Amino acid sequence: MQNNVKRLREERGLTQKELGEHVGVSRQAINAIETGKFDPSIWLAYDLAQFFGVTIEVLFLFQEEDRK
Amino acid sequence: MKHILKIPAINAVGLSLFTAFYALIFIVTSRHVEFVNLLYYYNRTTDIHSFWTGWSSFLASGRHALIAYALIGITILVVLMLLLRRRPYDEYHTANLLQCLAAATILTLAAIAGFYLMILSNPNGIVEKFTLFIVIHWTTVVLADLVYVFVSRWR
Repeated sequence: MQNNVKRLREERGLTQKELGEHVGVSRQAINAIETGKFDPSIWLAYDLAQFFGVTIEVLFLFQEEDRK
Repeated sequence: MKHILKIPAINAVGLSLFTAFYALIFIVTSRHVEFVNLLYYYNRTTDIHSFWTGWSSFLASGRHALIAYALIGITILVVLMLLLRRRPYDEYHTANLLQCLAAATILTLAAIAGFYLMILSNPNGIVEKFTLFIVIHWTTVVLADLVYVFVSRWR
C-alpha cells in the first residue's frame, strides 16, 4: 500500500529505527511499511498517524486496486 | 493466535517439544534390534531400489541418531536466540511467522500426499519411507525457525 511514511519521517529527520521506537515496532516493520511490503494493523496505522499529527487517510493512500 | 505468537517463549516451547518428540524416537530406535527388523530393504540386494537399500542401511547402522543430534543442536541455538530476545515480536514479525507456519503446513500436506502415493505404488519399506518423511518434515520446520529468528532479530 502506498503511503507517506517515508516522506514524513525524513521531514522530521528520523531514522527508521527511531520511528519504530516511537510507535513500538522494529526498524524492519517500518521499512516494510515504507516499501509497501506490509500493511500495518489499524492500531499501528493510528499510532503512526498520531505521531505525525495527520489523519490515516493522509498517511496511507487508499486506492481501490490495493483492496484485498 | 497472533497475540500468542508475539511471545518468543511460545515459539521456543513449541519447537522444543517438536524436536524432543522426534529426537527421542530417533535416539531410542538407533541400533535397536526391533527397529532394524522392521526395515524391509536392509540387506536386500536389488539394483532397482538402490536409494531405499542405502537409506535402509543408514537407518540400520543407527546413524539417524546423528540427524537427531544435529537437529537438537540447531534447536538449542534457536531456543537460546528466542529466550535471549529482549522484546516481543511486533506485528510484522508475527505476520512473517504466520506465513512461515502456513508454508510449512502446505509443504507437509503436499509431502503427505506424495508419500501416500509412494506407499500405494509400493507398500514395501513403509518404515524407511515414513522415517524419511519425518526427517524432511522435521528438518524443514527447524531450519525454517532458524531462518525466521535470524531474519526477525530486532535491529
